[in-house]
Amino acid sequence: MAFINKFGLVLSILLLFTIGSIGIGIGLGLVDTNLILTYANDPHHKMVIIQIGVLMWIIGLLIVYTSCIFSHEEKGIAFQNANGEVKITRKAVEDFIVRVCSQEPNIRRVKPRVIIKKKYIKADLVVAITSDVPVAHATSELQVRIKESLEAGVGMVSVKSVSVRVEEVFYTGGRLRGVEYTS
Amino acid sequence: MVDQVGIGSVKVSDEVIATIASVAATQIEGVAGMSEGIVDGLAKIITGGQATKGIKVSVGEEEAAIDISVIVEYGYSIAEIGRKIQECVKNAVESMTGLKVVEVNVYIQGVHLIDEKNDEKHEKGRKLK
Repeated sequence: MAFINKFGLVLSILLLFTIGSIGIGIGLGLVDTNLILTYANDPHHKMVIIQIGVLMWIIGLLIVYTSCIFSHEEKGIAFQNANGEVKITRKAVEDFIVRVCSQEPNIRRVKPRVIIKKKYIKADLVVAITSDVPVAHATSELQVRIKESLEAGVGMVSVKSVSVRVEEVFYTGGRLRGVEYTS
Repeated sequence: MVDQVGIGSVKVSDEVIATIASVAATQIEGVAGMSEGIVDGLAKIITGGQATKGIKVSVGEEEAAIDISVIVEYGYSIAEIGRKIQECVKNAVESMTGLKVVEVNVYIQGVHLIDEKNDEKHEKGRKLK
């Protein structure tokens, strides 16, 4: 959906530049309006113009649909009180996750991505771990730790899910678990 | 500001209020520092002045509203730090300037991360895919 919005934005900008350029061209006499009318009046070209118009309508409707209908991501966790508003940005939550992971000896690197909705947050982590513990054990502990830390440390938030993807394993020496070594 | 003694008006500049707010916020345990956003950086370039980092103040005749952006330390409840900042900044500005602070909006921009140099030792070791 983010791709559709970005694509729509690029398309809108290109369209605006094109229409603007045509307008400037017509105004300065650089573009022959008779040529445009001749082109548009050709029956074959009319079909092409109609199809382009329909396509642009469809893209426009898609962009409106994804922007308005779908529940959008919040940029932060905000809560109001008598003194004003306290807003915790998505970056702050992601920094917090990085700090939590830095205290885990088996996690070498983490790249978090937090999705914030009105009533909950979801965290997707891409991690690099060490080879001295089983992946399942390391990741399940990490999920629990992240969830508890976020709910306690950030406050005012419910963590719906913590997804972990292990992208790299750092070999730290010694024998790998589950591997039979022949001496 | 109100003319309290009848001989003239007293005005407190936005910079003064921003400085008071900044000092009050950074003295709170758990606040690592102020966060400078793009607007502050641009303001410095355009005005050539020393825009108070991370603070935006709107001042009326007797009231003020303050927006404050901070970086917090790890290990503290972020929501609780936000609330403390609101209280401390409000109390500090009200007591020092006499203005009524109608709102203090706090934006927690990040969590103070450990120095990258400390991470180099963790990078040793072969990578397996």
